[in-house]
Amino acid sequence: MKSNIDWTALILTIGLIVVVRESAVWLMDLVGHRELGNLVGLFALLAGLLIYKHFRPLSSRLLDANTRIMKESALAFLPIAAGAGVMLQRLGHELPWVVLIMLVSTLLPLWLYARFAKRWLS
Amino acid sequence: MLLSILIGLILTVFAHAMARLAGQYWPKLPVVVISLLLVMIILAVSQWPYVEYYAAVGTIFEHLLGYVTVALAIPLAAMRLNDLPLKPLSRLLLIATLMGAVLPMGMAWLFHLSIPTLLAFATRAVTTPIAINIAQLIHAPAALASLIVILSGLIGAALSPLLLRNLNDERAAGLALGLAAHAIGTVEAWQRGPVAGRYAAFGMAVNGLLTAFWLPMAFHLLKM
Repeated sequence: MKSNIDWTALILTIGLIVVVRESAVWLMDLVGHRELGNLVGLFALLAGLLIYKHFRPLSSRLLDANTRIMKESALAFLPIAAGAGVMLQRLGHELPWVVLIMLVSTLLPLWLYARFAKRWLS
Repeated sequence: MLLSILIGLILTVFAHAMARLAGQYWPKLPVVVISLLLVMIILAVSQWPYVEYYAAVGTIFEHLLGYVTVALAIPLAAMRLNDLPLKPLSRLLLIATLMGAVLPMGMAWLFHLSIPTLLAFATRAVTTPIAINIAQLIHAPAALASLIVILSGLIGAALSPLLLRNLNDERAAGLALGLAAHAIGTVEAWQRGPVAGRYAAFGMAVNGLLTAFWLPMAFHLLKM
């Protein structure tokens, strides 16, 4: 069965992301703020692509490869997300209130934003 | 140690692949939630403590998280904002960044929770890498802030198919998921499709940037 994955675009896109992120982390490490490396990488790549887009449209192969990467991005969160349940047990008597606040302050805005966005974006 | 890393990697990738497969048959089930439940079940059955599992694979996945954060630049750059009504969109983003901090902190204050817990809720609606930075700036406990961010993302992602089932607008669904459930919500939005995914990435990134701008300043001013 022939694969429909554009491997060249996928490898180049991953390479671009890795180079930008590692350069940003290295640069921020030099100025003593390594923790800002990911954000600086995000802004640097965004700025670079917006400048590029000003002159030429972004390649559809880049966008398709990125869509594939984002679809698999759940993998990156998995070990941290699995630990959230374990950490919950350490909250003691505040646990029920913390859970209630998380439920209300996530679900109410999610519902409201969706309704507002549907009305305002159309 | 090398064997632990290898086993941890295989376990994580296996859980992710199984969740993606399950997602194809039951598209309404959130992939993030299925995969994390699978990891927790496998760890419990094999009696491998979570702390040891994370010690084995944590560094690798922290790198992957960094790449995912940077990769968000691509869908953001591809967005065509010309077609969007900028005034209502700005209004929604402003409401989201304020509500994201004020609502959970207000509730924590009403329930008389401790000051560190109250402060940790300030970053509830912001993606983890930005939340950790803000938490450090406002002297909130970073571990608790990360826990709140991750769990609220999971809650939003898990219950979004139910809450957004009659919405019939992928742009609105994506934007709401990115604004309310940040990175994990954005991952869930990508499972819905590229339109929802791009809008979620946009909402998550702009909300994170706005909050990183005003929240530390507001705390600094209130302390003066």
